[in-house]
Amino acid sequence: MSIVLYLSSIILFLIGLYCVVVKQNLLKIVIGIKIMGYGVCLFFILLGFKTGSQAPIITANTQKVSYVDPLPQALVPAVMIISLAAIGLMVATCIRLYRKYGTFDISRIKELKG
Amino acid sequence: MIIVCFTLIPLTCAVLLLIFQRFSEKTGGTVALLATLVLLILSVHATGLIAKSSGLILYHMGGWKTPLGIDLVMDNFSVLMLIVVNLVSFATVLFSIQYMRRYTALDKYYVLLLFLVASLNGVVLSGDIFNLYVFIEMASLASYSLVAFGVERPDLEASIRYQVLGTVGSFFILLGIGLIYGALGTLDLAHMSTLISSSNSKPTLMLSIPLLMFGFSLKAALVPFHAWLPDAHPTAPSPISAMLSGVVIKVLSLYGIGRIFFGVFGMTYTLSQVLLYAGLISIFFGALAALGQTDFKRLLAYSSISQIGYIMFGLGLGTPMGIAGALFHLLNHATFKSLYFFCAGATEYATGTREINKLGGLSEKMPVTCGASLFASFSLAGIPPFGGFWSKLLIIFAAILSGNLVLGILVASAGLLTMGYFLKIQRGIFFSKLPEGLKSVKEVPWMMAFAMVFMALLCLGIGLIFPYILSHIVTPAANDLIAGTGYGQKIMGMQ
Repeated sequence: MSIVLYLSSIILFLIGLYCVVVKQNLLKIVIGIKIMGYGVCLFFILLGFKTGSQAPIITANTQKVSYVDPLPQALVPAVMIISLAAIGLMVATCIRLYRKYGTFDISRIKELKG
Repeated sequence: MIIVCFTLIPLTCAVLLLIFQRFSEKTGGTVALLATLVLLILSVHATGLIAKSSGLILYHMGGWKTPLGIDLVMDNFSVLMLIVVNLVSFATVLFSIQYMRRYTALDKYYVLLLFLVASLNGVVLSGDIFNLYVFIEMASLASYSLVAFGVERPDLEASIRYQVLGTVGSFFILLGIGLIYGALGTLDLAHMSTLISSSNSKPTLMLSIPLLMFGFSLKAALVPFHAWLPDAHPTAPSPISAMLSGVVIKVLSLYGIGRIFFGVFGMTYTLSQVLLYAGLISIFFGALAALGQTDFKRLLAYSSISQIGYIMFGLGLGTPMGIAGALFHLLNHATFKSLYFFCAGATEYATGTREINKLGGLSEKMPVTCGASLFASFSLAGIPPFGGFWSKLLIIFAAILSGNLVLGILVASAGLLTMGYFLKIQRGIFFSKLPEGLKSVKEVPWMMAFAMVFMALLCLGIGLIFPYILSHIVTPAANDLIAGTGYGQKIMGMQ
């Protein structure tokens, strides 16, 4: 069962990558990047997950059971904050580009040679 | 304790600038100059410090010991990178103070620049792979916004391309990190490298290598992934171009490749062949594309692709001499390419254009800029006794000695192409007939000139005292890379 979950997070990542590579609209590209980010976050969450285990909070009277790995759960907020900053900068740039060109179509935003 | 200062000083200054700059426009330049000067002195001091302490200084964040906490690690390789980062950033701030006066929102410029310096120092000192990723992302965000600093059409367009490709690269690196964590259960680079040989989940680790390699190649602009670089580097303000070409692409990618592939995974034959041939293709593609450019800074950006190829090629050879040559070329490229971008900035500042066809005969009007650009091109083209000559010589010798005679000859012949584009710059901009419109051109203000003279003397100085630099800074750094996974055992052994 868990391999299906892992694969689905990778598929989510690839859907985002497809969106970035194929779409012509800048905002859709930004959305694609966001989807890639969700795929990676989901992957990190799954790394720490174990079926039937508890949150790792140890008090005096907890019995010895299996715990989920808390480290990936701590990493995911960091990843989310970083991608939030990146997306914020990207959307701000898109707005500026829209003011200059009047379009989000990347095939019409090409003054540079590449 | 000194390790923390490298990220703490620029970060503190950046935050203080955010608060105090609204009172006076001029504080930004002064504070940034002081901060980078202190960092430069500290990084030179670190070379002495590292020699005394058996080549490794550790700092445990919050006092947690190695596999549990986050470490800052300074070894000889980090010290070399620290010198490169802080040297170029000092010259950049020196050059910016007068150059950037024509831009608005200067208060934000120095804050972003200091954030960039802080995160680059953080990348080279980090001993934890996730921390490395966070600093890489922080440096990327600062450089995305600095590329777009002019907020004109080309700036924004170059920046959005850089942002999209850079973020995709970061997510690939992150996915690779996730796979490594899933296989080994640790994020500490040293702990990871000791666990990797006895790990029983080899396929997962094998899968993470191409993901990391793809991410780092995107950030290094190796040839199939280079599309963003010739747009992003020329459109940024000139001091930032110097910073991006001289430092950022090296720290974000070459350092990552050196640290993770040499230090953690251990170099394999396949991987070194990938670096070798990707480097070779980059050398030729960059040089050939540079020959066809008419924009001064665009030409330099393609030249950067070519020179990064030399460094990759040297790393891919894997012999001690090849790696030493690659690291020495890294230092040389940082000095001459940032100097070249300063010259391009000075030319644009004085004449208002960077089209080589519209320029000419500036050697009489701008003697300092002309002299500095000559020093840079001698180092770039590999003319003795400039630094670039010795490092290219080392790389070519290493290729021939390791049995790759044909590759050595190919790399040596690429020097002719380099010569071609440097002659194009010199003839087109400084030595042909002066066009009518440029009769009233004046030399740039003294601080910009001083920054150029400083870097020019360094280009020559590194070449003149190269045996000292090679034996005291470059060879110890190369030895750290050659030691491979010995990196992890050394750190774990220090507990």
